[in-house]
Amino acid sequence: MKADPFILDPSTDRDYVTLLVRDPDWAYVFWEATAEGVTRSKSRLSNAGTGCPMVLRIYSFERDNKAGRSKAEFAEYEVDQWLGGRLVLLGRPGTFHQAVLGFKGEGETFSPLCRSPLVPSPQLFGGE
Amino acid sequence: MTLDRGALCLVLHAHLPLVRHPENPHHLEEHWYFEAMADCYLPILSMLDRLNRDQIPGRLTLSLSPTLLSMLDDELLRDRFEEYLERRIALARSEFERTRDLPTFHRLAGWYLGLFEDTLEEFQKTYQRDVASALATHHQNGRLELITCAGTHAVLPLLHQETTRRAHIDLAVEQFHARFGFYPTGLWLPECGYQPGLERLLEQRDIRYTILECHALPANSTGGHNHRFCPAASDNGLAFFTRDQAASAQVWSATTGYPGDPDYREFYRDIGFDLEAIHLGSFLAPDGIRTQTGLKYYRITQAGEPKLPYEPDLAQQKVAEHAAHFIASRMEQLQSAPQTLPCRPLVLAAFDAELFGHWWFEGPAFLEQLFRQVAASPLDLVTPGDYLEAQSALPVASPGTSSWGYNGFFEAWLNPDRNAWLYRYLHHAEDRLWASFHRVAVSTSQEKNEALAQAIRELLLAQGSDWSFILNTGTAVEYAVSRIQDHLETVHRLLDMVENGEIDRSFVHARQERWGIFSGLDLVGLWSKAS
Repeated sequence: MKADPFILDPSTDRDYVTLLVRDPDWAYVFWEATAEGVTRSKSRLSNAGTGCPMVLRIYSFERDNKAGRSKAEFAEYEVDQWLGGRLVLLGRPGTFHQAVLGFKGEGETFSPLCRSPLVPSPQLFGGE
Repeated sequence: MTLDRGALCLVLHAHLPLVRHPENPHHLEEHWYFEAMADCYLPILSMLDRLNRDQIPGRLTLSLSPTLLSMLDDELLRDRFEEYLERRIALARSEFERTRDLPTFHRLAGWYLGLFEDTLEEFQKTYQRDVASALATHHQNGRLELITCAGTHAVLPLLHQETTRRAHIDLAVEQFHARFGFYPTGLWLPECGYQPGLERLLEQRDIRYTILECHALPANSTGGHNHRFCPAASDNGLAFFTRDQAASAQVWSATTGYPGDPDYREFYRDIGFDLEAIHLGSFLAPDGIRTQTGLKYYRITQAGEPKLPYEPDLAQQKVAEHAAHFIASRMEQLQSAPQTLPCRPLVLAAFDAELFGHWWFEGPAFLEQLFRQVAASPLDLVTPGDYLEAQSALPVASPGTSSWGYNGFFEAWLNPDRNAWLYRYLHHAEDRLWASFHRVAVSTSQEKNEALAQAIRELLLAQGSDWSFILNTGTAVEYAVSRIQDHLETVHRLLDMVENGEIDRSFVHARQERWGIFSGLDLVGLWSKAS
């Protein structure tokens, strides 16, 4: 993340992740993890304290209703800052996306810390 | 088809961010407003007057953003605009003397002197310094359809909470009603920024139509309706007009559009930058910073050739040719409309109002020619409201997320290298304001309500799309950052006061005095309704 020019404190002392759709293919995701949240999230992993990288997962769904939601696919980005932001590729226009910040443990286990609401990416109608 | 079935809608969106600096009589960013007033809003107004005088038919749609409306009614800015025009007149007079031995420029300086004197007289005498009321008169007499735009011009899909989106719409509608005495039928979404769900918020305020970028709708909807020539509507009847790309490109494009014609005035060759400082008088800021003066001596000229002096008469001839070309192009488009359309074929051309006169000096003359030439053509110049009155039902469609920005979505306002960092702060302030509001909204304390109302104003002002756009373009970045920071710091300071129960009334009143947009409205009550 580029340094921002503010002197305001960027921290909100909350664990959150926000996904803002930029266009049919890309979203900007920003997040914050607090020390308490990190400790709590990591403690759920069997190998807490030994590595456990923080990752950002971008889940994509065909539909937005939980009951009929098709199986999720996700892309994963390792992130090394508790407070950061980045562009992420969404891929398929007109589908639904959710960002989840969490920690990876042994054997592909994953402990989520916080998640964004489910957000649709724009459809491509093509215009004129 | 016969062309007399074709309708042309011309929509101008007038907006500037609220810039007002009582503490500094030479604040450069206030010039954005003065230049738009002198070069755009007043010339458009006097054009409307001439069309009425000559009984030329046709109607124009004008969206007025709440921030611009607030500036039009601001006495400090009215005084400063007069001073600005007087400085332009003094500079033109001094140029008239300086160029006495340069006949071409001497003639031009005299021409500018007359133009600026006329502009000041119109502002003071014809419009009595009240441009908003003059526009309202044109609405009443049928020349204009005035509509509003959301709140402080935030890109609504990039706000964090739906309640905030609703508040932006509610405030705009109520400000419009309080100022003009009637409710708007249309609402221009800032940057044409749309996402599914916004239609409900507009419907709840009885808005009858909005305008979207053309790719917001599929080219053909169920039933094969072609939205290029036929608006669509939501299930509940909110009409979605779409902006025609071909019409936009002819006027908007700096390279292929009319404004790039070699005979038109060159925007960037202003004497504020061309002449030695000694000739600029009071247009040279005390710190020596140069600025646009409105005196520009050159035309665009053919690429690669030395710039030629501007010739107003030559430019006027081009205006007439371009208006004729624009009309012929629209007629050609309408002739290609499918015979099976369920509606009268329509082309809607929508632009930033500030293009006309400011960026494209001859723009108001082009608009006037358009009205005059359309009157002699098979086309009708109508407003979206007129069109809906005459249309029984529109095909139902669900628009997609879109904007009129670069590449059609939100790249311009969400650039990870330029402005995306901003949203963390904006969303935090937005969330905190709502949380505070829910905790103390039942307060009967006038002090707390005043502080809350001002916190709402400050948040709204930070959310305007102008700041992130400026950060993206890289011009006036320092000013944009300082404004966002100032407003957001103030939101937090006011909320600290509200939450601690220790209101610094002098601070609250100073901020009200400084940034008092929506001052006649019950902001806390409207915010409460939005939640």
